Amino acid sequence: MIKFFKIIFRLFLLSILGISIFIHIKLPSYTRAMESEIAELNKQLSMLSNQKKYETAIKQSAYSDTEIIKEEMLPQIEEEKKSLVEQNKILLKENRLLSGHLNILTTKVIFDTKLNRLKLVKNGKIVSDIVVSKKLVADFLKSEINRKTLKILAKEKNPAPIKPKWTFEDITKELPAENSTERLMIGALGNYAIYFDDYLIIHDFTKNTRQHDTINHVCIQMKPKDMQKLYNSVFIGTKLYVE
Amino acid sequence: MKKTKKLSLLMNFGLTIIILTIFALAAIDVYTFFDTRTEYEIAKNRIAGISKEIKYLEKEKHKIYRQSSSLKRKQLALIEINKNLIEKSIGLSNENMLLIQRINELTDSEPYILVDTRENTLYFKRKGQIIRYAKCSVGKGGILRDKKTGRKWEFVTPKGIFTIKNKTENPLWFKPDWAFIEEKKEIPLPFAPERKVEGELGKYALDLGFGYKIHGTQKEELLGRAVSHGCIRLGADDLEYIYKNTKINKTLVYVY
Repeated sequence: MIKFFKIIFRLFLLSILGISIFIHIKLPSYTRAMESEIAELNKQLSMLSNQKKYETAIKQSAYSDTEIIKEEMLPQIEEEKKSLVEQNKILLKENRLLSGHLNILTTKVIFDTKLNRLKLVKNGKIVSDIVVSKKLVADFLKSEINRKTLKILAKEKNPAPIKPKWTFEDITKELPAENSTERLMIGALGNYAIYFDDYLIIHDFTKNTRQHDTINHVCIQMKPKDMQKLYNSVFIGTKLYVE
Repeated sequence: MKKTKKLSLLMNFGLTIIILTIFALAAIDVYTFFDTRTEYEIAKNRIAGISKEIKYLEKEKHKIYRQSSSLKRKQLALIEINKNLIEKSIGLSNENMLLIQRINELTDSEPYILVDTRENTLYFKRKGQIIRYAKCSVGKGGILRDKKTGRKWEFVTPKGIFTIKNKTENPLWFKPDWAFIEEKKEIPLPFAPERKVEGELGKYALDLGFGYKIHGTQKEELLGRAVSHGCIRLGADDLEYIYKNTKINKTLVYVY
């Protein structure tokens, strides 16, 4: 029995010996192969590390470029834009005012008594040409106005001229006050009136001729539409040239 | 017999030593193998990790590039806008120079007043150059109707060229009819004493004709806004300056 166990033990030892010999012969070559692979991997790793460094540097540079644009360049350009917009606003305001000033200086009205027309001229160009009735032109020429240049003294919307004293039959009696309904002649000069020197008034047609005729003036009357346009286009001081 | 036994024992001992040596070598080989394998795994994992990091970096880089190119586009658009604004600005400056030149040709060298009714600003100018600038108040617009007589007043400052017809110190204000209608009071007779009001027009008044004046105000905080009934209101200091530096029938007042 002991002998049998001895044999079994020896066989076991022999097999372990065989396996060990096999391991000792084969495994080192696997290990070496793996070691060379590790060396390859380390090379790759070093390359990848360099690539990472490179990518990090590029990202950093792109980031700083973006930051420079975002934090420095864009705000600077935005600031420039703001200041330019402000500057343009000031210039536009100045332009509007200068244009207005020039408009006042270059606006004139020409009363063509031969062609029965009233021409509105702005900056050398006729912007409005209004027909005046022959009768009114004839009345104007017959009037005492002999100046060739007249000037607008005032403009009035909804004029309310005061009824003259002489229209009251008995002037020895106390006359109604100038701001009373008895004295105010609303509508006698139409809706718009432009007053010139020498009692010349340009106004729109009025149906209230009875009251209109009591007003001491020479007039050029026109259609309400033409009158409104003229009223809104002329200025105090605009000259009227009689031709 | 004894010799043979001794030899056998020696052989057994030798064999045992050899077996143990081979076994130990095999164990070292196994250990080395597993150690190398672990090292291999570590290297592989590191490569995987670094590759992942590189991918992430690339992704980030592209994101920044996209952001950068969008910012660059914005920058270019802004530069273009600014370029247009500069061109517009140059155009306006040139146009304004021509306008000033044309105005100078049509006016003399006397200083004049220019009132901007849209901005409620008064400029005292000479040959297009601003000598003084002041906030003012012009007509507020709107219509007031007298129900009794049917009269209507429009509270605008008329545009045009005015001359200073008269200058007054400590002017009195003769309240016109509309002032009583506004206050919902009975309108007195034209020359009634209750029409006279002291101090309302400030220290000075420059008469422009037809009831329009440049005068002071008791409500300087409203300057810069269109609140008057057609007159041009100025602050006390500006009014004094204008009063002292203008001439009757000589200084022109342009209202636009």
